[in-house]
Amino acid sequence: MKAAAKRRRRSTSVSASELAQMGVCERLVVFEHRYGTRGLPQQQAAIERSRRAHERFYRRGRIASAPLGRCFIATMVFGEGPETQTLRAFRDQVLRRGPTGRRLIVTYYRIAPGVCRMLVRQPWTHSVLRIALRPVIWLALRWLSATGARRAP
Amino acid sequence: MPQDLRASRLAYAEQLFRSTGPVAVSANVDRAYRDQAGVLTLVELKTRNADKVYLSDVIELSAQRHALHSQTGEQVSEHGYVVVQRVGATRKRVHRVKLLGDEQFSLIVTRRERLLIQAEIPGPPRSAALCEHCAYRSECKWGARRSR
Repeated sequence: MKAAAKRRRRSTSVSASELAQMGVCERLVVFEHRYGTRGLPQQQAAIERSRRAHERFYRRGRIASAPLGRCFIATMVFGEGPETQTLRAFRDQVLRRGPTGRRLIVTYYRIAPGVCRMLVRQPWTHSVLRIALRPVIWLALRWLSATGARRAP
Repeated sequence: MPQDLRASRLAYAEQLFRSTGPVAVSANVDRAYRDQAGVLTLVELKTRNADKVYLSDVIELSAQRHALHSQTGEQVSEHGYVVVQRVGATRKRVHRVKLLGDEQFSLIVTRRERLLIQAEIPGPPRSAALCEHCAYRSECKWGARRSR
């Protein structure tokens, strides 16, 4: 009696993945409802693989769509100046458009906070970085004007 | 990201939505992009051996559409995207799919409910090969027959 009532209650709510099983095998839907989900070892491995892929997919989606994230290293050495704005514009209007660029952004955001922590302890590196970044900013500006992309806001 | 969604912004990522009604449908949306007209388009990631889209993907995206529309009232596109990442590969392929209409979706929900109360007889699997990896093969007459 109790089990039947529980089944009836459960049947008034359904998840998208449970519904999706209807497109796989209706018998499986009934068995899973009756006995619970029973996973074979290779299915467990597939679930774990999928979970990891979803985590990466989520992170990349967030980074690729962040409206104006921080540009850690440039902000640290230039402040909120035109150099930082140029690099942001290059990130948003050039890098973000392609898969390689997006991968670069992901890698940058992964390592930049650590680099910044190191830079805080070594203030003399700021002037070196400022000099090193000048040609990068010049190239970014050239690229932005060549492609007709909007300049920094 | 699908080419069609280049001008859209990510509106939701890994978010759970729930519809109201006689049968509440809950769905975890991988990604939903909002275009300039305010219409949402769903994107679902799948990791599998074959670079294929199945009916189950269409049903899952349709359930997401139903739950998202029901909870937020926002307009959700009649098509969505399935991003397939093959096992061991890093590249993903994007497939555009047409989602089920409200009526077709309701029919599936109703049929599932009727199957669970044994008011209908469940049909065979989409593919006989599925029985090979099914955990219920010993209990299932169909699966046992296929494996003989």
